[in-house]
Amino acid sequence: MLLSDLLRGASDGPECAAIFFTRLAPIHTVMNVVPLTPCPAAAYKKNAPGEIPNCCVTHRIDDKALHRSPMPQRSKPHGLRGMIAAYRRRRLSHIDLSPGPRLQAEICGAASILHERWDETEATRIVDAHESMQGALLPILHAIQASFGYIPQQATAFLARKLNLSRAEVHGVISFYHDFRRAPAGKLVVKICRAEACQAMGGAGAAEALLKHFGSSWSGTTGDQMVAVEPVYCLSLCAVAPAALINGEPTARFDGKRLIDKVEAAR
Amino acid sequence: MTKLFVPADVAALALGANEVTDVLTRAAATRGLSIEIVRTGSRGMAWLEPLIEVETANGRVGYGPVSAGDIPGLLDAGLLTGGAHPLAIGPVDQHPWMRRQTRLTFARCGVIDPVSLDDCVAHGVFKGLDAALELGAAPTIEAVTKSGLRGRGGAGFPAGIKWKTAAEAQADQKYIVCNADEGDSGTFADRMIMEGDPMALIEGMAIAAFAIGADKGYVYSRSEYPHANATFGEALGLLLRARPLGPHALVKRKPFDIERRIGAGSYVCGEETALLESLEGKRGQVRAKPPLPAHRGLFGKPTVINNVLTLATVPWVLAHGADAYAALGHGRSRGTMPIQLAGNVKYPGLFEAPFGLTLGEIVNDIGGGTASGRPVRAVQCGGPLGAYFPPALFNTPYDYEAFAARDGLIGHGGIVVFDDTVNMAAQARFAMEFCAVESCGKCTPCRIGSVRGQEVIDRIVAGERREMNMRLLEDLCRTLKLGSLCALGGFTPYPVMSAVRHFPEDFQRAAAQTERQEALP
Repeated sequence: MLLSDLLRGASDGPECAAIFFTRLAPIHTVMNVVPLTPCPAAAYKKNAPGEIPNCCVTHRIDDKALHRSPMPQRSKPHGLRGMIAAYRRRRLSHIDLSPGPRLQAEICGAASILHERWDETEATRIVDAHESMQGALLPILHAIQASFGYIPQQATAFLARKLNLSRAEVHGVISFYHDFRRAPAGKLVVKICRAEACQAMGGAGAAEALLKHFGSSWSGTTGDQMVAVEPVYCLSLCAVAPAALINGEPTARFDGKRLIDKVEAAR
Repeated sequence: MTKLFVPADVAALALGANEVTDVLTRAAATRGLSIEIVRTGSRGMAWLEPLIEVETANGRVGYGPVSAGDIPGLLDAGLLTGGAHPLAIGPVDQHPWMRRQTRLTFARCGVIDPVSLDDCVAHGVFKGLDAALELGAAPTIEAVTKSGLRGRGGAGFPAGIKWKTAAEAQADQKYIVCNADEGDSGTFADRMIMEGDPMALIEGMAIAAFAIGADKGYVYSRSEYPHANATFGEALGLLLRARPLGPHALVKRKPFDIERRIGAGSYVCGEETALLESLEGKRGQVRAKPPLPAHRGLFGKPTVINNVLTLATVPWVLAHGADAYAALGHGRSRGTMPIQLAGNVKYPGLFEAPFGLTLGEIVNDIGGGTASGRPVRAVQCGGPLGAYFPPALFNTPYDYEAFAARDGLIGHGGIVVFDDTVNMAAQARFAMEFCAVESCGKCTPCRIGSVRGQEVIDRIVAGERREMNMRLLEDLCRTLKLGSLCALGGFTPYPVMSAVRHFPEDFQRAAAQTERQEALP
């Protein structure tokens, strides 16, 4: 499977749960982030440069691959090892590589999602991976959203059954937290801070300009389902306000025009 | 080999630190220069980001703010030897902004490679833990109490007393929970620690665990902090792999493990009991106290829940002694506070100093006034639930009690500056709106009162029965304050009423404008 295929969403690899990429990088960093059965190191060694290893990233990856020393510049990452080194170097990922069930996607901004439809096998695998965790509903929901792009309707009854909760309890949790989407998001998620520090630096005006540019509204997607603009209350970039995350990539000190340019460039 | 330091702090990344690193790496390779780039946290001088530092014979020399286009010129000017350039700021430690500070919690932030164990240990990580292990559990708690360290999350509760309560509770299982759900606007100190010196936090948690006899710790962070979470996870993984230094063996006499959990965009989960509910996999709804978390907290077990800054300060207290920490400060606020200057301010960033500076010194001398160059009109202290202070109150000393005496709060140490273009009626309305969006729904005054509050402010602004609606707003705020379990409902009146009290003209001005418009045919 080629990287480009994956990025176009042409993959049918059942094990690739979620991928993460960024266009700000000269290379696309692609990661498979849901812990599966640990794969032997040999499984990814044979992959050709730029190709996606058809296995998951597990904590078996040795320390050398995780070493953070500056990498020689390459146009393409070489295998999984190279991709991880690139990720290390740039600190771009939203992915935790620490072992065990902690290994999960942190969804901030959208990743390209491979499971668009409900898949009970995939969901079962996610729940099983969190078996040893106490009070694991939030991590499980995060993993489901990382895998499916949103929390599919079927997940409520499924999780209630699996975790021995009532459906009302599961629904209560899903609907309580702002992060959990109940419908697929746009391909590009722009999270704009609306809190006070950004207000003080003209964040509201920039956000309005962007919404007007796309003819969109807060939390809605554009007509072509491409861009979703979501409000957040503080990205902790208050000292360089106003701030936004464009598919997880931080951007700051913008006015309306610069924000529009950045989002258009990311499309 | 010349060592260069470029922050990988998310604020620097937002301003292009990765591009700068890439261009620098390539340019050095083309010119045949031998360099090593270390990615650090941030020094906290946000207006200089991305700030490149070069290791020279005169110490670390800084250049900033650097953009990718500046790199060739910098290299021509002798960047690697600390050569002169318009962007040069000289030795970073000697910079006036740095020299005025007393960096205890943030001593290593921006200096070390946060995910290099060797570098961390060389800079004194684990000295505090060693000291605690030598002292023993009870004397460790005693030292924390004696230092006067108070909860840096906002409530300012003495950390030692909280620990003592949990230590005395009898249970088969106890927990340490680190509250890293830093949702307050204008604050970023927790994030900076997680990105710049995560080991300090881990060490602080290990000390707390040793002191109260816990064997499991949780760090509850935010989904809005992907970069901080990645760095912290990396640091945690590093310790785990590097046994016997790993969390399982950090406290040699008892295993201790730390798990990192990520929230899901709820502000109220920064409240300690809501956070515990969320950790248990439930809706983040506030619990009534008592029972205190120190008696019955996470999963019903005794739990110490402390903010990132509190826990990250503990190692310093243990390593340098409680008296050294208690010697700093003002009144009953001992030690230092990492002050976070944000919003419309010329020199934004993190400034750690002992309590006792006046608000005016912080905003005007340290912050340099507004970024826009217009006069300062209001500063909001302590996040979205903190009061707005007018320049008339700039003589207030930065101290928990002094702020409380003026109907304000220090909170988590955030200060957001506004210039004279701000409309305080709109800010008051926003406080109500924020409360409505983030209310967990448990307490009626907060859930419904916040919505009614927006409507009342709208009516005041529209000039509709102003006097009566003003009284109604005041009454509503009193109900919110007295009738809410947690600070979200309880403190929303602070920004609202401070805006009404200190900036009444904004409520009238808006009304007057509307009346004029209505008078037009």
